[in-house]
Amino acid sequence: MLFNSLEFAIFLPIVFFLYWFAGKGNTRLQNIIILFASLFFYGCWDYRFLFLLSFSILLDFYSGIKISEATTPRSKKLWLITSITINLGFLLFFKYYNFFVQSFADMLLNFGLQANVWTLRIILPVGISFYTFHGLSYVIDIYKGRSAPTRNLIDYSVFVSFFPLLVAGPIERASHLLPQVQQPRTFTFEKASDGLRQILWGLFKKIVIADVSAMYANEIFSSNANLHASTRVLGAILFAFQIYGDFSGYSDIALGTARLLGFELLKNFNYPYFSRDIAEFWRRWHISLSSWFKDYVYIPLGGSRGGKLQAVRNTFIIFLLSGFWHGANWTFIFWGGLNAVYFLPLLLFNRNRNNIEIVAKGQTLPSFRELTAMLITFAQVTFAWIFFRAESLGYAFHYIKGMFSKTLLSTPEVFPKTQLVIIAIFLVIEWMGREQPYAIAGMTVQIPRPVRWSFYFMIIFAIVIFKGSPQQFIYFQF
Amino acid sequence: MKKFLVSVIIFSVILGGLVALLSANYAKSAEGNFVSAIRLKHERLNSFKGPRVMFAGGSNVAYGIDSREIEDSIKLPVTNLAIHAGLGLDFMLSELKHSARKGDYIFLSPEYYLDEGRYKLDEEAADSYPEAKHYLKNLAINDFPIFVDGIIEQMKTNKDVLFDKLSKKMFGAKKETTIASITSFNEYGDVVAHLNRPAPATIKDKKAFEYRYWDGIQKINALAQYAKENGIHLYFVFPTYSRNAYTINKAVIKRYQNDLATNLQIPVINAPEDFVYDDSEYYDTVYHLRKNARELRTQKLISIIKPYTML
Repeated sequence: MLFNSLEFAIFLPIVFFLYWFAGKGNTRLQNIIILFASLFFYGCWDYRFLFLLSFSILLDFYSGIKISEATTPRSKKLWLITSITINLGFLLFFKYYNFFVQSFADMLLNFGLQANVWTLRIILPVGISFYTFHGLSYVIDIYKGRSAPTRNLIDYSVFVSFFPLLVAGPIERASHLLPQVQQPRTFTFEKASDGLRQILWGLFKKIVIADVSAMYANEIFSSNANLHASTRVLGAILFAFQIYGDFSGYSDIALGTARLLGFELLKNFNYPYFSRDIAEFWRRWHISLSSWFKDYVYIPLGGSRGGKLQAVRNTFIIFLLSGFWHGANWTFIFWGGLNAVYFLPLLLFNRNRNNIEIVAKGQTLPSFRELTAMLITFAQVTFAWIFFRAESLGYAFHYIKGMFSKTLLSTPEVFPKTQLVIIAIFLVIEWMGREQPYAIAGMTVQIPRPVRWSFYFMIIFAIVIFKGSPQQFIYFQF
Repeated sequence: MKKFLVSVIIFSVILGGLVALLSANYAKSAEGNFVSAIRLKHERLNSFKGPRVMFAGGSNVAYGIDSREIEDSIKLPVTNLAIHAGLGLDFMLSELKHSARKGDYIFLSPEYYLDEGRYKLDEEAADSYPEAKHYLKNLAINDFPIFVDGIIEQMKTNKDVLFDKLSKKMFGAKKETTIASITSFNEYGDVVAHLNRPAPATIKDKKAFEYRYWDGIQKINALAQYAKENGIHLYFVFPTYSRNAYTINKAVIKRYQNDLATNLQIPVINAPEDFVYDDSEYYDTVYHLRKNARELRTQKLISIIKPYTML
């Protein structure tokens, strides 16, 4: 069931009414409603994977209790390792088995050895990377003494399977979400209307920005024709907006849906394309994943405490891991590595924390220097996205090669004027709202209702009129 | 909660009113519009006594064959029933079921993944040709998504019409890329108005398909059963498609072809690549052939269908 489907438009109001009316004042009943709704939501993709999800939930729930009850450090560690091994084992098997086998065979072939590899037709369970990371953070936090385990299986199940975040995040932490599951939620008009507003904005990003950009980006990336260099550059830019609209749109819908039910999820995007350097970009893009890697990999590896060399090593490790997390393909690993290379000069010259606040805070326009920095960062990011989008490294290099020719200044063969105008308007709205949690969050009661509602109607009609052919959310495959 | 629900209800009511206003079909009864050609086509079809040959499908057939040449070659009266893919597969199949009789030959050539109608064209056609009211599908409750799609498509059409009018008013643009009139057809039912016009700079509808099992197979099989029971010869012909669009979708089209070969209960008498031509041979979309390729396709089509019309 996709967030931008008719099914979800029916599902959400039913859950909303059951949750707030049937479950009124009864947190336990509300949690049971959420749990059933989440299992139904997930089962709509493939009910067989409910068993895998349930197993993962039971494993981490039980491991959490066992870790806290363990009397010796050894048994504590044993439970932690068991949980991590099984969790990562599933992830590796479902997501990476064929990749490893094929890569091994390719390597042997380089040495002149032909190997008959045994690959499997494995279907990737939707959201496995996300709920595995939920579970891992839960047991690791208990092991480190950062949080206590819950002994309520329903509460824990809701934490892992909460349908707004189940298949594509944000990757939540037990310390942030679990207390919200355990405590009573109160309905407020402001929160609920804010949730709807964020859902609306997320739908706009997904349906108008991402799906329409995808149509053109797919056409350009899948064309074997000798396209103009300018077309290829445009293809990469359109993909940059596709992936941003797709993923941040999904996150907006997830956050808005959760807010309708009285929950606050972690913010996952913070206007990443207005970043002035790559370090700032990574503080603003897929924040929940970056911070996960920082907390559970970078810092345990020593972070930057051991000097520059260690910081560089650890930075490369988390970027490569992040790339690998996205999928079983060398393109993702290369994409991760390229971002680490971008990061390197900032790290070496201690400039990685130069830009913490949002750009041009309190001002209408950026300075020339800020604008230039933003454009350079956007260019770097877009260049890296080519590897992310390409089917293979070979194709990515072929695509890039085609970007550097005399036809760079000629009119692109594919030139979606309307979509480019819409993207420009979208950027203006995002710029104006960049100090808000999401771009149109400022549309609150201070603005007269007719103005506010007219704006919402315009967004709704823009969604309807300019919608592209529906595309799967990109991050579902991760 | 009460305040929230009241707000949501008022918002929804206003939104519903706006949707109704913006999705009305303002061009519905335009005289002599493109789909009103259905009347002329059926007048021609009904004028023949013996076995007849009908070509059906969307605009790939309407724009892309020379029926006169085919008729001269196979010595059977030919009518090109095809008008627009937007009429939808259900409408086309229903039209054939209502029109065909014993001994007729039908060559059905729908566009890839053709499904339900768009732009309420079927209603427009029924306005011009009352008999076509019988071809319209009564929407059941599980057709609700189709109903929603219909509203969305109509709003898009209204937007396009409005934008066209505005652009003409503001820039005096001569934006005439479609052939939207009954006068575009010849007496056989072929669109001919585009043949001597310069083609637009780019062709549209070049999109990447995502593979899925086409539910049109089941619908065609239902017609196949009717045809079998009534002595009607029904054949499936792959449409024409621009080379670039074909290349993009080659793998998907292969699977689509396999599905047809395995599950379709009528003969599939050609292959997808038979009518693939360079993009420069197309008029405004990946399905609309220009003069030269139209002639090539017609010749090839004759060689493909001739053995079947001698049965």
